[in-house]
Amino acid sequence: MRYRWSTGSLTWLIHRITGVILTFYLIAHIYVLSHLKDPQSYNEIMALMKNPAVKISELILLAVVLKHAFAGLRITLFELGVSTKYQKSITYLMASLVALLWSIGAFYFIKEAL
Amino acid sequence: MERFYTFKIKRFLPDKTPLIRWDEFRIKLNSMERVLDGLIKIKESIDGTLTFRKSCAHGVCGSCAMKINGKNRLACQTLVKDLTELVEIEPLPSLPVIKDLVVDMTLFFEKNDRVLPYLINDEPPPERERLQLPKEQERILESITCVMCGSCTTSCPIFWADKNYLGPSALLKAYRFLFDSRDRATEQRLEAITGEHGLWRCHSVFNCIEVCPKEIDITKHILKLKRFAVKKGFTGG
Repeated sequence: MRYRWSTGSLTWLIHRITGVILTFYLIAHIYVLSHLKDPQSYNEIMALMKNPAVKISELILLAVVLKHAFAGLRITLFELGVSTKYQKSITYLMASLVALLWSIGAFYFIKEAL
Repeated sequence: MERFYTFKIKRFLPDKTPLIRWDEFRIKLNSMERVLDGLIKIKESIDGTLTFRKSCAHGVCGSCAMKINGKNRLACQTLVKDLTELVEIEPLPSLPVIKDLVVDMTLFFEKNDRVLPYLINDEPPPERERLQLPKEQERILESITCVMCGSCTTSCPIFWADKNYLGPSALLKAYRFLFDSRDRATEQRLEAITGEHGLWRCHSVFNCIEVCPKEIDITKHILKLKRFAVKKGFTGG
């Protein structure tokens, strides 16, 4: 079914998708953590983490986490009584905050990788 | 100024094959005319079998709600000059279609019944009517303007996925009575709306606000209901 997207429904969809991605990430995260039992496997996994593909996906992960967290914050603000009149402006404010924080994070990520 | 418009209408013909087809009609309308005028013109002069609901034609009865250019609106309130030259018209989404643009609203009205949409007050009635202060009336004024056209509930993605969900319209109706100073059935009504398919299913998608022909801030009312339900201890669901 086709239906016109609006700021609210798009934000909701992004919130959902990032949530699903984070669920899968959590499984991968626990897998990695549970395999850090001895020095040898620790070194093996840490070598894997140096892979450029992993580095890039970490940048994507940062964007997903920030987007999801700020979408949740936006909804929480409304639940606490912030006027829904500002729902569109708050969406844009949150998007700019995500962009800003991601840029700062990405700067340090890349600095460390180089 | 008169202009030609192409009305692309999704037809549903229960006794024909194929069941669903898209028909295109080219009609001339002036800038003061609305989508409903176009539909009436088509029915009168091109295809008499085109079926749609209409009654007051002035945005009060809520009969002519349909999906116009991908968004639910009242056909009688949408000027053609505000749309593109190609006007795509479909029935309201996610409700069973009876014919063409006429949908079966039973499901929608059933939800309305679930929130007990009537004044409940066991106190003996006064000699004249039950009075209300202007300030108390202001609290429910916005929610009273609802014409129950069904645009909001059928634009809600949660309703598309969960047909048991009460939906914005029924929740707005619940607000209208819960915040009415003359009503006494607070607990009973809160019990009815805070189930698994009730109040807590609203994820603030804001689609209902986008489509409401009466410009009611429905999400604001639902959020107020949520806070009210929490204060009263109705957090289950």
